[in-house]
Amino acid sequence: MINWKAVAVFVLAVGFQVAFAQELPRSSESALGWLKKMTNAPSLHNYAGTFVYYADNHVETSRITHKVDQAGEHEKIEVLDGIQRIVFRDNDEMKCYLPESKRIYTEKRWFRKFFPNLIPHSFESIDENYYVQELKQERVTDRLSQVLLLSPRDVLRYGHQFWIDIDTGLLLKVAVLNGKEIVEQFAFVQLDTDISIDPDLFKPGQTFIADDWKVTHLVTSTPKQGELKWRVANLPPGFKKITEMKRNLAEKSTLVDHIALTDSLATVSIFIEPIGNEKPAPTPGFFSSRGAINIYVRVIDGNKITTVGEVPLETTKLIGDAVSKY
Amino acid sequence: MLMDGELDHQEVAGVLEELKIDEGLREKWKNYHVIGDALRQSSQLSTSVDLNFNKPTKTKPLVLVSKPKYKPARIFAFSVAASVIAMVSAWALMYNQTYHPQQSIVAENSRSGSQKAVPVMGTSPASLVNYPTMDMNDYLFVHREFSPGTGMQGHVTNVNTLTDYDERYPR
Repeated sequence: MINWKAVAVFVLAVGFQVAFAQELPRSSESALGWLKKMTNAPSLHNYAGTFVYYADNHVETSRITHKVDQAGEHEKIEVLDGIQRIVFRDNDEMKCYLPESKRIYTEKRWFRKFFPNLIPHSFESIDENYYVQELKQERVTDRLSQVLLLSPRDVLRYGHQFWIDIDTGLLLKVAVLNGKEIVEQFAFVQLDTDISIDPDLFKPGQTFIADDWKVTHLVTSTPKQGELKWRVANLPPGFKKITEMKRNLAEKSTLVDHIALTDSLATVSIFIEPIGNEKPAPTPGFFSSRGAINIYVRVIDGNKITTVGEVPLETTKLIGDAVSKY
Repeated sequence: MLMDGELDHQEVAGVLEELKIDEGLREKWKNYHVIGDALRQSSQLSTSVDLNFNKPTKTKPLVLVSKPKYKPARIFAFSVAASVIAMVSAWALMYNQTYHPQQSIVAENSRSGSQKAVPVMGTSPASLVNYPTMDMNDYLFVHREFSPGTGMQGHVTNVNTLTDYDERYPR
């Protein structure tokens, strides 16, 4: 039975938030200009350095080498802590090498998840969801940076703080904020820019191309109009669908439906797959991963709907609940 | 066996009950941890088991508590509740059976070093174990595009069931 009193309270609460959101001014051209400079920087500069990821008292160090030439962007990222992982990126084509399990995964880049290249090229609508503000200048990894604060205009997304290299526009450090609390951070601890980089660095070594490595192509196909049996209606404000696809996953042979959303900064994935008889039915609920990631699982007509994103838990629920069958 | 995580959750519950009432047993527990810490050359020795044991939330995570009666006004408590959930998730991670602590390597050159993560307790209440972690990792792996920060195994925690959510935030 619907509790109308609670519904009224909920509507009032949302209304209050909307009213509150309108109090934030528009972002200045100057602040948005920094974002533009930051977005373009990876396609203009060679760089190599070491950065750390920090969340939930966990630190992970990675080494990055990035080269730009006429063919585009080439990148190598080596995760130095924990399970060894090396990712080669050639524009939007990615290969992930896991030496310990001798596995290689190939994938196409849909979002932009690799620090320091985090902002999608199309960020015109970012001001609709975030108030971008220039704060101050700070020194990071021995470079002078411009600090930008992206305050969310509602409670549906996290805030972000960027430290942008004044010289090159490269993102030196980013913090994801839940209010004043830092949820996760990436930061360079050492960085060289505009250096000469040997193209051979982007070729996997001989040890990576031995016969006994198992290669899994994470293949995606874009379904024709109406082929996907699912739709996402009444999305939370600011979120838009980027793409929908059918794809395989690392440990699954069957294809799952994958719908990708963004609000110009945060990204959310919806995975839909039939529940097989071989496994126990999933229990709907919420799951948390490291850092900003939240996960919401629900079941519709024998299908598991899993919503994953760097957004607050309540946003994953709103998006997950917006999924329905045609 | 409790320290090594070799007991199943029912046996763990029994041992924990005994620990609650037997001071001598608690002392032994503490001694074993101090010995373990010394062997591992830990810079911080284990503190009294009492600190970790007498808090009800340590043995009864949010997802397991009996269903309280919520009033509609609780809807305003969402952000506070979210913070509580975040706190509980850290605890639940320790107790989640699907979470297998990895032997961590601290940067590249520490392969020969002595710093290793040693699991202290790896058992969990059964009701937390209802969703394979590997499934979640598949999603995370794809969603984060192999990005650093998302390992291949074991960082997913059940923080709340849908029933709990609906009761907390009634519509």
